Amino acid sequence: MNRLRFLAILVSLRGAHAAAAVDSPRTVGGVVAGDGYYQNALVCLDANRNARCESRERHTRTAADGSFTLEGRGPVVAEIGPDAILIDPATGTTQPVTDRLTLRAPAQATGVVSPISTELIALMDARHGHSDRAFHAALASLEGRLGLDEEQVLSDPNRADDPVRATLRNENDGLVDRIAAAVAESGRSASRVRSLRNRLALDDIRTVVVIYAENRSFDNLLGLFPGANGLREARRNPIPQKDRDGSVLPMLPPAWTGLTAPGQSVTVTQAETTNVLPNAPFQIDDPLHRYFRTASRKVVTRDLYHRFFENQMQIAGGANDGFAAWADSGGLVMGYYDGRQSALWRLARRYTLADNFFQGAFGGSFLNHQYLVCACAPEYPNADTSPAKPSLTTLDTDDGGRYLPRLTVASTSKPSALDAIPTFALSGNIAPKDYFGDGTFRAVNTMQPPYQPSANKPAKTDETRLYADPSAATTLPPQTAPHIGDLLDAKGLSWAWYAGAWNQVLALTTANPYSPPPQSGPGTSNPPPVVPTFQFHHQPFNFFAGFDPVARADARAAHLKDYEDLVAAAKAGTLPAVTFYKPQGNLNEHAGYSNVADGDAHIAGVIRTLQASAQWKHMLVFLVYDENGGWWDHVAPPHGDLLGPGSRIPAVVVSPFAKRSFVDHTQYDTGSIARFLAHRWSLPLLPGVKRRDDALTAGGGRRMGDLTNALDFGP
Amino acid sequence: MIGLRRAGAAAALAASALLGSLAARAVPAASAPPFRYVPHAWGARPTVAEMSSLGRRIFFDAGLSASGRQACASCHSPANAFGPPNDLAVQPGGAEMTRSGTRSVPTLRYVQTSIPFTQHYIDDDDAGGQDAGPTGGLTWDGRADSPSAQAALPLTSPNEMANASPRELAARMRASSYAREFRDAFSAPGRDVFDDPERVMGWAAAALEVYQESAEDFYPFTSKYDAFLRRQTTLTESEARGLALFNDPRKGNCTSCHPSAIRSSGAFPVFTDFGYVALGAPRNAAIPANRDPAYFDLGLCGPERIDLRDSHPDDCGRFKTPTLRNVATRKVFFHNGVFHSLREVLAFYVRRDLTPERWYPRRPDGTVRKYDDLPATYRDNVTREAPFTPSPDGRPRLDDAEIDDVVAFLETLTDGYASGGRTHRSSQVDATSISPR
Repeated sequence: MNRLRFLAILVSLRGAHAAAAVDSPRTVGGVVAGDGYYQNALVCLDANRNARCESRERHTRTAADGSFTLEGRGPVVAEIGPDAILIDPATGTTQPVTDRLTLRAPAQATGVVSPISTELIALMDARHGHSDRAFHAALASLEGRLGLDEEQVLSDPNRADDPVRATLRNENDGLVDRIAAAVAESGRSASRVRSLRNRLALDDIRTVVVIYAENRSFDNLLGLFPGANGLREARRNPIPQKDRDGSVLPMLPPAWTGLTAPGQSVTVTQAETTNVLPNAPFQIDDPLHRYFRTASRKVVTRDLYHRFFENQMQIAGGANDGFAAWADSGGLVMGYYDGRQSALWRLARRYTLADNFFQGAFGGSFLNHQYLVCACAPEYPNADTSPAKPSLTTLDTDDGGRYLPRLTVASTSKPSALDAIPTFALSGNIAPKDYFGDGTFRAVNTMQPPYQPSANKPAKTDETRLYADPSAATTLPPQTAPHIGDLLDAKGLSWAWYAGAWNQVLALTTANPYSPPPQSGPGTSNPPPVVPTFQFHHQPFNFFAGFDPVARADARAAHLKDYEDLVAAAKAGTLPAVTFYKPQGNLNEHAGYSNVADGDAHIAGVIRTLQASAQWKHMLVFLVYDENGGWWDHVAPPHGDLLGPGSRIPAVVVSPFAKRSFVDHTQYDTGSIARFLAHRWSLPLLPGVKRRDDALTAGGGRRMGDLTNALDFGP
Repeated sequence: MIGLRRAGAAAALAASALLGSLAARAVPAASAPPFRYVPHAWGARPTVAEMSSLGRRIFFDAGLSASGRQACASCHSPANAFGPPNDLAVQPGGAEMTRSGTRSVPTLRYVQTSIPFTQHYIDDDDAGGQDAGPTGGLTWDGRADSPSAQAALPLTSPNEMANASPRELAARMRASSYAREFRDAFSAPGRDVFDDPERVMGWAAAALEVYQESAEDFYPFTSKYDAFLRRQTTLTESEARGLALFNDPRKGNCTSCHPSAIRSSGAFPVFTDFGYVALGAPRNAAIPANRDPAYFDLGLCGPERIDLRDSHPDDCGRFKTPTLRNVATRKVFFHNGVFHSLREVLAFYVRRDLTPERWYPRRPDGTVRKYDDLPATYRDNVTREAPFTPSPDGRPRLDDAEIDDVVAFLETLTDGYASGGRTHRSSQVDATSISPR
């Protein structure tokens, strides 16, 4: 009976929107649907188009099959609260509704009230229209993005067949959290239409630029930022660092071998930092240090461990009290900068600062670059019988023989962090077999791309000189996991990874002889040449088989480019839809080879270049750090999966559509960038992003946001 | 001045210091925390400046040796970048200055960035994730994990300053001209440090460590090459050619162990990766210990440390890669001091395997006994990377003119360079300040 009625309505509606002008039925009806049907949703004719059910509006409740009918005509709004349930029509299983949702449908198509119809009306709102013309324009946008025709876009996902069903479900899944966030944000009185539009109507963003900087924790650079969760909060609930035996350290350990890197204008020695640093964060560029000279943002500090298992031992299950104990830099981990003079700070002041953004993977740059593009850890098949065998990590195990995320400490390692850095049996590049539970070996610390430019030279037999020697212990075999570039390609979207010094280093490493920087300086030039500091492992796509330099030379040329190409494309207004930019080493703020000030100034310049581009008015820039670089942060990362998330990092959303002077507390991680791209262009989620969500929700936590909370498209 | 009476004496380092280590020994969690020889051990005392100043006086005090004639500075000569003052393979020492050790004197400059010894060293950024293997530690075999642990070795070695016990050292310290300052700085409240010889030893070593961190003396970065890197001067044509040869993996390939590059806004190079290599240096008859044909100095495998001998035979014969900063001030090279000029060293590097008869003795049957300072079982550990292997055309990696250029470049690594009206403060310390008693 219900089904028949539903079919009848659906059939009538399919014709209805096309002929609305002449056909004027007396009722609207349909189903409130998502991933199943919502029973007991409150449905209204949204007479005043405010995306709220109000008592003066005609209303009803949905049946167990999600169906409703209302007398009259107009757009429909469904309010779904804790009193509603979600029913899977195939199995009959029910789920409670945890987040309040508001689903809408335009007057032209009320048959299926779903997240997609809510997106549709948001796209219409973005054009300030509810005319048929606005409806068709919005529908056309969705059709193009989803690769479906009009009828398919408007169909019930629960009744569609694959692949349409999968496409609709993917789209709906990507909308639900945003709708819930919009409902929560708009509360009782704010504009729900605007909140929904800001999150759902993303068509005005036509270019997304991801600038991937290096190795700073949030507290290290922005701990003093007003309104953000920073060092003031950390002081309120202090996190004294603990020694390796779990006791609270009386003082921070020294900055081993000195706080400053060799050859700086200011030298702060190990002795000067010994027994004078209270067990608390300290400001490196404090002009009034009592015991040692001030190291300004121009002074390069020594480097700090930032490795996969060390990072987890430092995070210590969220206590964040193992940083000093498991660092190679002693108390330096607790250092931070004033930050107010930085361009990063100014951008954060002007646009949106995300203060709850975590590095996607524990550990270092290698893995977090991989995570950015594939939300995965690279696989090394049969590593135990490969040249990489010596770099298998030695971990402690529990009573059942299962690996713990804890390195085995060498017998000669000092028990106290006050006496020396820790030493481990073997903190290698590859996790033990099956550490991730899928029977594989996966690389978690720096390994080298199989293609040039790579730190490994070509094999003697390689006449192309385009490959790295596969027999070198650190050469990773080509990767085949799906990455964000695959998803963008499948949608026909343009994208490129731009890297500082890419062309120069590619020329050096494919030359005969192979002569990578920094050894490659011609040496005869006076004064010395500025040799690029280029990190091969900061080029994530160069690890993937899809960029084989011979078989896929076309793909390389199309997608792997130099910083100079980025500048030219920005000036010409031809930046691809998705643009990644990786600054070269000396400009990326990595401790040990880059000072904070130079990288900051460079990135500010890049953003000025982007702002001068004709594409700026439809551009969204994510300025994100790849990982914490070993620096302490006080916020416990949410409990995710075995890969991450790790420590909190700075992230700023810069765009004409970014909320102004806004601090966004939404929980994000590196995968939020792939999630945003997926939502903007209706891409499938990378499996690792989905895995992260499942792990977060399984642990009682929330899924990561998609950064749309940072957006505001105006009134 | 101290007397240097005869060749063949040594600055060998005792196998175990009386002071186990400045750092804590493994202690059960419940016991009292170990005493640490650190600045501000008692509130304001001792300050880093006090420790550095006392460390300096200790460093130059020959009165702390059993002979009364040997200070740290005797072997670690400030006029030679805190390396050996002469061309002796090993320096004289011991209570009567009649003994000698087994290894040449390393420079003390630029060693403060060395990590403690580890079997595996993985540098994610500069070395791309490669495991460099044994790395770090101080002395030729890395057995000292910190400068203070290292400092305790010569103070107690019977071949060197020969303090037989902390008590002896304390007695000598008490008699020094700075005994009062030492007592004031290092006595626990209400105590006299001289009542506790172990603590005198510990504080002396700690003070030496702090002194050895002083940037002016030990970490100056004031060479011509540093000025070049700072764009304050230019290299001569020969020096520039030498740098290119030094860097070129087909020629000198020197940077594979002695990194020369500065990151354009980053750390300056210290010209060592703190790794360990077996070079196959010829046996040096000038070392008295070598009179025993059964005696071999195996570096990581002993005789000074034996923890790796059985478990890591691949490490036998390996010695720590020294910094090349100030290398031109040396008159003695390699762990056994077998060579006496840079040209000789470079010739060995490029001709070791081409003309082995030039370096190694012949057996009675006329064959050359290559790598004769290693037992046969360990000779495969000797490195065969460039520049030891000849070029593909069979010629040495560097010809004589190229060696001249590399030497010219190496001479730019000497601290105290002044140029263009910009005078770097000389970091040289007056060698005559060694104070015998």
